Amino acid sequence: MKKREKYQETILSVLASLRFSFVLLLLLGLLVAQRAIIAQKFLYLENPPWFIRAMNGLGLDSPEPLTIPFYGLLALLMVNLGLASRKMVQRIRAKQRSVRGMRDMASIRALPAHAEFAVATAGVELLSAFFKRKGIRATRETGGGETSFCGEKRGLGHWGVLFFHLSFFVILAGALLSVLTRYAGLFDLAIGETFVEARGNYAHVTAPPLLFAGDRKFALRLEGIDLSYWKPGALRQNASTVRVWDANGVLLGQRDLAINSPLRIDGVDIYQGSRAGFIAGLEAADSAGTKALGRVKFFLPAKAEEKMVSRVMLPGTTLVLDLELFTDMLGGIGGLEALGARHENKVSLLKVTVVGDHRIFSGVIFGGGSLNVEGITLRFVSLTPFTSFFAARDYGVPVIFGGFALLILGLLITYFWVPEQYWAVVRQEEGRERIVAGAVTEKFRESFKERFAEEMQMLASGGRGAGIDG
Amino acid sequence: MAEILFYWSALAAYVGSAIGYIGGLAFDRRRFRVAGKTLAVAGCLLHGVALLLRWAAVGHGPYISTYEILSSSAWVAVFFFVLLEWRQGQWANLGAGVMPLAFLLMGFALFGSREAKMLPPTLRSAWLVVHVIFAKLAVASLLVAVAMAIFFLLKRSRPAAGGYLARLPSAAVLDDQGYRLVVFGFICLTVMIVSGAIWAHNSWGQYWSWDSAQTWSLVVWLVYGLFLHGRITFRWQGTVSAWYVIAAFFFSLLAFFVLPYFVKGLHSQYMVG
Repeated sequence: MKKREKYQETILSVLASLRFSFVLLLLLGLLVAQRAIIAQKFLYLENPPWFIRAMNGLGLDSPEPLTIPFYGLLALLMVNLGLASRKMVQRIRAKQRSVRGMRDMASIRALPAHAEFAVATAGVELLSAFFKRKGIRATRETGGGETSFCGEKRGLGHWGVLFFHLSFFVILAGALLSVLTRYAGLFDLAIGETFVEARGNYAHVTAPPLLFAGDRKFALRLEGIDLSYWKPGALRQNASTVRVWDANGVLLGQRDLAINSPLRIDGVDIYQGSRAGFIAGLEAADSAGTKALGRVKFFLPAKAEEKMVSRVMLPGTTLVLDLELFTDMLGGIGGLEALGARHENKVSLLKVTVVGDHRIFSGVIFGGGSLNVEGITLRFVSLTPFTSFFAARDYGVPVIFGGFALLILGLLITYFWVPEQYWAVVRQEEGRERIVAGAVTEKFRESFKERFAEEMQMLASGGRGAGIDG
Repeated sequence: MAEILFYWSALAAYVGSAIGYIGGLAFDRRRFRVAGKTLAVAGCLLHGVALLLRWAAVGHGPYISTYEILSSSAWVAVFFFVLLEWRQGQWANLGAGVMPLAFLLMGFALFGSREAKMLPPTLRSAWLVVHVIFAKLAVASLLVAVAMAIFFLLKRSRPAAGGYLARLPSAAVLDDQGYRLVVFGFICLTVMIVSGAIWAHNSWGQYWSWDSAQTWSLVVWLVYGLFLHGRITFRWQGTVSAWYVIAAFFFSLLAFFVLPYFVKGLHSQYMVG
């Protein structure tokens, strides 16, 4: 039984050790580097230099084999951080207790930063003033011809590493919440169209999340698009104005959203998407009078020579329509005036090529006009600008960002709010007062030692002209 | 026109300052060092005005084109050095390295196009400013840490040497200050990554996308994280610590500047102008 307990104790001590966390971090670094190589491997490179080819040779072909080791490492890291944090709290408490205790002259002399000097009189007042000036909360004890001091500065600094460790728990809790609650979807809206938040209404949507998967049912209608380019393909501004209703149909008002300025509705963030263009309303009617209305999307050209084309299949037939859009509306978009000029007719028209059963037919439909082909009447009923949106719901994000803030705070406290502990003894000796003072700190010890020596030198010279003895 | 006038004045001041610091180091004359310091401060102010004028003219911070990136990097390096010298005078000799580097950067900047780049809406974000400032601060502090590591190694290899090595702080203090700068750089690196993640979340709805440059920056963070861990766990200091700082900096140069130049990911346009 005792042997078992000993094993358990050894395992726990290894799991909580700093060496173990160092190894875990090293392995994590190697896994992340592997991810970086995989990411760069998939980017097209024209004549990559030898060192990139060599690096890519070290990378796997897919990140999938890394998933289990990555999560395994994270789990072990959490165990290590948890156990280490427990140990750390015990150590901090012990340190706090030790600082409250006085030290004798011999033990102060053993400290790496210490000084010894004598003053003619008022050594106690001199040290009290020094501690006060430095913002050190010092306590004093007198007895046996001696006055002892002990004090601490920046005591909160002891907790910095714990904050730092806790931040990883918060970040990982946020990441877990993210995995459980995140979903994202894309949708396009033409001016005047309304989108109701429900899984079925997205053009593309990720798998439903495990938690809070219900539709939010709020609605937004696109009222206006503010789109302009520096030149074709170089976006200058992309913003939209929408009118928003809550799930009960209550109008929440008109809102603006733009790139870098998403809109939050009922926990869902709506981002301005990058796709934009026109939606043509096309009505197809057969000889029996059956009608079908379709929306055909045309994306804005990124280059002067690029055409606005789309391909659709007529429902219930084997006919495929190859469509090319010409519209003077293109010239109305800032920065695309030159492209609009190419569309000489200055009206909206569709050039139609119908392909079906080895027959090809070409024709043109003007806006509001129609075209008969293979017994089907095609009508070009509308043309409206559209823009795209990206919606994401992720309850983990604020937790993750909170963890980041804690991480930075922990680092700042750990390294720039470093605790300093001071001890001093003043002893009456042959009409003079001997002062022995010492201090310890946890980080940047050499600079601290140098600074402490300078301070003691100043104190000694201020103390009736005496000098440092040791 | 006014901007380029201030730019050239700053460049001239930096050249004068470099001569002052090098002269101070070589001949151990205080007068040279004072001239170097005065010209560095004057150059930093003139350069700051040039950058502000550029900012006002193009409507965005100086971080888009090669000219802007190099110019602002030089300004951050000089500002950082002036601040360091003000707080800790014993580092004045570092000016002999920093000031020539600053005017060389400014010279290289003039080879890049000065044309105002058209700013896409994704780059119009306050988070970008935070991201860029902390990236520059991280590189500046890690660069100075490398200088301290080199001075440490020189001092350790020739403990009895006189000349400029004798005028530097003790090897132990160099090691300590280098450590402090790595810590500062690491915190700046953390703020850079975090602000980048917040900006990505605001722009694209995704705070992390495993983009190549983004992932390499995380690797750099882990490399420096391991250094800080090693200082505590294995009591790394002295020679081991100095070589680690030098190697880690070369690795971060590869990750931040060399790889994005060849691997055209999300960051390429911002990082290499």
